[in-house]
Amino acid sequence: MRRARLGPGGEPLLWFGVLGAPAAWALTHLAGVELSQASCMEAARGGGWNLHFDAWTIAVFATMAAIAVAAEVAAVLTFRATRDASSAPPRGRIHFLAIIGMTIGPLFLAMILMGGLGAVLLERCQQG
Amino acid sequence: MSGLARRAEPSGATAAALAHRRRAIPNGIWGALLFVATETALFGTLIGSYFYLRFTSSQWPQGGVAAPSVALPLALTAALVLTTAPVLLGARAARAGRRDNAIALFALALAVQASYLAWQIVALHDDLQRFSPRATAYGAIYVTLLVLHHAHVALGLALEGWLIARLSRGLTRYRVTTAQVVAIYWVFVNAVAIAVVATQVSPS
Amino acid sequence: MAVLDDAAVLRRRRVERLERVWEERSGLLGWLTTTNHKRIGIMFFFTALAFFAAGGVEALLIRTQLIGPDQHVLSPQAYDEVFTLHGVTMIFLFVIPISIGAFGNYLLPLQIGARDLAFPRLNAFSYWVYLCSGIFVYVGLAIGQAPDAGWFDYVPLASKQFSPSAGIDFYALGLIFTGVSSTATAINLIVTTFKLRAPGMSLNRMPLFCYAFLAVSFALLFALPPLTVATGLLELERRLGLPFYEVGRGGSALMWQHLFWIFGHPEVYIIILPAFGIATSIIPTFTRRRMVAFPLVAIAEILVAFIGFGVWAHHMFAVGLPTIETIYFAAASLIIVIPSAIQLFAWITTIVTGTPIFKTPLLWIVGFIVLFIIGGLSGVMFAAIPFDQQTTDTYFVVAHFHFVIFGAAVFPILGGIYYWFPKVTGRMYHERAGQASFWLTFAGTTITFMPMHVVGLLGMPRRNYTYAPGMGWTGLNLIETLGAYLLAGGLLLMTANLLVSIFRGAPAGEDPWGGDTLEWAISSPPPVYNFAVIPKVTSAYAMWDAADRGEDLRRLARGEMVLADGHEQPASTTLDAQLDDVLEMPTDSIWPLLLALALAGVFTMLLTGHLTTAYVFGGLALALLGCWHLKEPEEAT
Repeated sequence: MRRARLGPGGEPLLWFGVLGAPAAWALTHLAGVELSQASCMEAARGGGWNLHFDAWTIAVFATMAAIAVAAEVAAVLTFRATRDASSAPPRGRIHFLAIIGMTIGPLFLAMILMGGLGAVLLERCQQG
Repeated sequence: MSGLARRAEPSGATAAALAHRRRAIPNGIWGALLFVATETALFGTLIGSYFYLRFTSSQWPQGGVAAPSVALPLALTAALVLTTAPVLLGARAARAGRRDNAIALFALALAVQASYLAWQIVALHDDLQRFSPRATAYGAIYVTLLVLHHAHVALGLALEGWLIARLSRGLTRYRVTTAQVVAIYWVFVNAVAIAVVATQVSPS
Repeated sequence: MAVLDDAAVLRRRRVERLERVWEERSGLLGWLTTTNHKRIGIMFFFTALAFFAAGGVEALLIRTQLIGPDQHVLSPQAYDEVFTLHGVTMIFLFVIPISIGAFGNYLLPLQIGARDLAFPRLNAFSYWVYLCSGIFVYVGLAIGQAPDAGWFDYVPLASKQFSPSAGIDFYALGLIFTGVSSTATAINLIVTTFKLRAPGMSLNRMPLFCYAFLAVSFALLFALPPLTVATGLLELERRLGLPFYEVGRGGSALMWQHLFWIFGHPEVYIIILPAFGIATSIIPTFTRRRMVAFPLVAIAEILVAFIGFGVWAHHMFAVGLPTIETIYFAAASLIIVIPSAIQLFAWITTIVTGTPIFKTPLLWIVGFIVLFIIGGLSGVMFAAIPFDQQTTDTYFVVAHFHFVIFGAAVFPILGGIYYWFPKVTGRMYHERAGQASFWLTFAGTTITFMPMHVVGLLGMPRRNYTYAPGMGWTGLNLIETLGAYLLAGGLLLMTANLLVSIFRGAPAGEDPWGGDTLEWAISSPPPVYNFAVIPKVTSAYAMWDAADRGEDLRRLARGEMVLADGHEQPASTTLDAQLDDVLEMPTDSIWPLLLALALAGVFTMLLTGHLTTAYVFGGLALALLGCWHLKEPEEAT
């Protein structure tokens, strides 16, 4: 089974499954806010920041969405590998964290997709 | 049987498990890491404010101020970042019980860092001759960012001086942790220095 | 029989040794130098209650002024000061300190089987800084220079030009000052949760209360720095003329809003998360069953804190940001409802499928659930930008946040006070009076805040010191004010109940409720060292594992994990809580108090503009910090 990958030393798959999606969302959030500020604020109208807004947005958001999906897969794999775990650590703790990873993946993916789609489809620099 | 094992289980059933060096990160190190995390958020916010103000301005620097020179700030920062080596090596020496090495390494780092600070203060003084922090938001955020960083350097010097003084009285587990905490603090200050200088010279 | 007697004698001897080692200094000096988490928790508790009373008086003044149109109970200036102080007091000086400083401090070590927090002297320092910072803010009121620009203190109103008096300086410096206390407590709680859990309490066996406080603590660490930057830059602008927010000299007034709300939104989750933790402690006990979906509730608590950092601009939907910027905040504001909903479903399902015992603590939690649903629904309405733009700055938003802050953050605190009152005091409160106080407060809350939705939709703006007759607001405002007095009555009844019960309540015993967490394993009130033997933990409901608790008695007799050679406390690994070390904890120390006073000197001198003296106090503070660290515990090993 996957015991070797879930030994007490490494557990990288588990941690990617737990932290990958939140990290991806955090990056899209920052990137999205910065891209919109760079496109729409005073400095941009001075012509300094010539950005291909849509291209950058799609690139960043698509990449991060893929990472979020990969993290979800990692969490599911870890969950299945530890299905037989009791509450005793480390397998019990790993199983618990895998459940957590599986739960949060879709939420962060939803935010990434909603934000990215909205930014591309809405009119640029329209004051809300 | 270690004292640890004896107190935890006199029967000695888990003595073997406890006879090793501790595995987990000590409490003091965790505290230092969390403190560094919150201070990083502080600098991150201030640097974010710099760029926010920059985004709001069609002209940057504002008020016709010349963009800062690049060479001196980068050179000074490089010197500061290089002190990461003696600081980390000093902490490792303390952990290995080599007290005199540790003191020497921290003292070396302190000398370079103190020179860095002195030079930076002179450079800032020169900047203030060219523009006033009261005139524009650029001046204000520039000076504030640098002064906050220099204040952290000064605090680091004080911590290092304290550490050297304590180490010269002998090596204890507490002081070894102190050395590691000071090292973590300096790695943080040096990393922030890179971000600060990058921000400082970004218009150039 | 002889064997049993021997075991009892051995247990007694070990307990006596612990009591000798951990004996506390008595008298005033004992309290001034204490580093014990229970004493510090009690000090936080009573100080926070004093500020709650102050904030409550301010609330009643507001409601009395608004009882009818064109009233003159308060002048416009006084009204501005009162509503500003009401917000600042309730948020910074009551709800945060009582949550992390009182509940977190007192209960976290008990729930994880520890003897104190990771940094006891830092804990004492947190308290003294809190006390000094609270006094600092109220000195402003005492000298007639209270802050008056609202609890979020927007520029340019808060700039020197439009607010020349020192009130804003008290606000700005006071918040930085109190932030030091919260940051210190946050670091302390995190390290305690990571390192001091009883061996065997791996992450999946940690009580949900601890997850809530872990989430709160991380949120504080990252939310307070933006506030420090915002208020620090404001002070630099007001005192030294550095134009960060002044548009005429290249600054940005909107930057204040971004900085404040990057702090401010996580702050409101910081307010509510401890309440979630208290609710998840009370529900299993009073429904006699395990919490439904335990891992989901655990992560929901952390998710709310984490996603909460990405929603700040939903407080700025009406300032003219481009839609491609606000879209991200709208997306996050919609999704953040889901973790809260997960918790709600878990709580409700646990109550419905368990055997609920509707004693006072559970009543407060049921009330909390009802009020949180109402407040949450009005909150998610604000995530729709068009709706927000119509109702922001009206009483609709005042209704929303009072439902979530008072209903959803304070109700569990009040329920938690009832729940843990027997543990802390050793006495039971009067149950009937407790239930009556709940119903009065619940009725008062609903009557006060429900009509605010309507009056907000009818256009009544917030923060106006009065209103004209004939707007259609008069009757509803009268009802709201009467509700406020009813609410106050409920709280007074609760206070009376508890005060009387401290002296006349029936003895509580160790575990009057049949609780599931470890604080119920020890005497009421707990001994100084908490646990005579560090508990054995094999599940998330340690107190319900009778076998383990029986084993603890045998381990005490054998001297296993008693750790009575000094002020000893085991440290474990972070993830799986394997025993890793034995730590020597510090005892009494005067340095935290002195350092807090030195910091008070720094902030006072900054306020009065005596910068050189401020530096002197700063140097003194560093020297005191050095004196503090001259004493090095942990030399025993």
